[in-house]
Amino acid sequence: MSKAKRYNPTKTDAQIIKKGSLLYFFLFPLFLSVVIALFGKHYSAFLINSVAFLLFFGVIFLSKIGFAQEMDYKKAKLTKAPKVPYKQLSAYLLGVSTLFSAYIAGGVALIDSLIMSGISILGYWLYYGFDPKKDKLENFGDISADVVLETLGEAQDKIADIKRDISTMSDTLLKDKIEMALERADIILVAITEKPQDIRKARKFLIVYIDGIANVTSSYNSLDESDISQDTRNRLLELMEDVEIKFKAELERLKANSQFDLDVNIDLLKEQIRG
Amino acid sequence: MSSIYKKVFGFIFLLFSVGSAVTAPLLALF
Repeated sequence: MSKAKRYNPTKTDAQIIKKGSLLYFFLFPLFLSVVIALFGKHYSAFLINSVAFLLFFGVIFLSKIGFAQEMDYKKAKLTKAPKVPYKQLSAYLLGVSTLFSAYIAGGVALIDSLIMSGISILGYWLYYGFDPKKDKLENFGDISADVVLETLGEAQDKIADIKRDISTMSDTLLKDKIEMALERADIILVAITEKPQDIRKARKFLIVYIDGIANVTSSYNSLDESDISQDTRNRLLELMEDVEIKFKAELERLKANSQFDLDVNIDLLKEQIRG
Repeated sequence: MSSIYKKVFGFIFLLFSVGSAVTAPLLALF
C-alpha cells in the first residue's frame, strides 16, 4: 500500500471530549447549595440555586460543542471556520452565570459580581481560547470553496454508506474487492484535498463512480445473498475489477496533472532566467 | 504571551471568579 493517508474527517462527538473538566468542578458547590437549600426548606434559594446550576450546565454544554468544532477544524485540511462561535457564546454565558450566581444567588455586592463576571470571561478566553475564525481554504484557483467542500463531503458520505452496506456482506471475495476500490477512492480524495483545483476533472469520479458503487451495494444488500445467482455474482466481481482499474487510472491522471504543473513551472522559471 | 502563561492566568482567573461565584450561594445558606 502507498504512504497515502486516508481521507477521514469524521465529526467529533461533543460528549466524548474530556476537555472542560474544570467547568464540571465548578458545578459541585452549586449542586451542594441546591441540595442543602432543599433540605433546609429554603425553597426560594433552592429555585435560584437550581437556575445557577442549570446556567453553568449550559456553559459546559456549549463549550463541549465548541471544543468538538475546534477539534474538527484542526483535523481537517480544508474547512471553513465554525459558523456558530460556541466557545465565545459559552464564555459570555459563563459571565452571565457568574453574575447570577454571585449577585442573585450568593448576595455578593453588584460591583464585585460584575468584576467577577468580567474576570470569568477573560479567564475563559485565556484558558480555553475562542473559536477559530480563519477559513482553511487556500490555493483554490477559480473554483468556489463551497463546491469543493460540498463535493468532498458528499463523496465521503457516500463512501461511509458503502462501508456500512458491505459490513454485512458475507461474500468475502466481493467484499475485499469493494474494500480495495474504496481504499483507492480514499487516496483519490486525499489527492483532491491536497490539490482542490483538480476537483473539476475528478468530479466524474466523485459523482458517477462512487454513486454507482453505492447503488450496487445498496441493491445487493436489499436481496438475500442466497438469491443472487452465480452469474450475477461474477458480473459484480468483474464490475468491481473495472471500478478498481478506473480508480487507479484516475489516481494516475491526478498524479500526471501534478507532474504537468511541475513541468510547466520549470519551463516558466527557465524562460524567466533566460529573459 | 506564551501559551503556558495564558493557561496559568486563565486558570487562576477562572478559579478566582467562578470559584467565588459558585461558592457564594453555598455560603449564603449558612
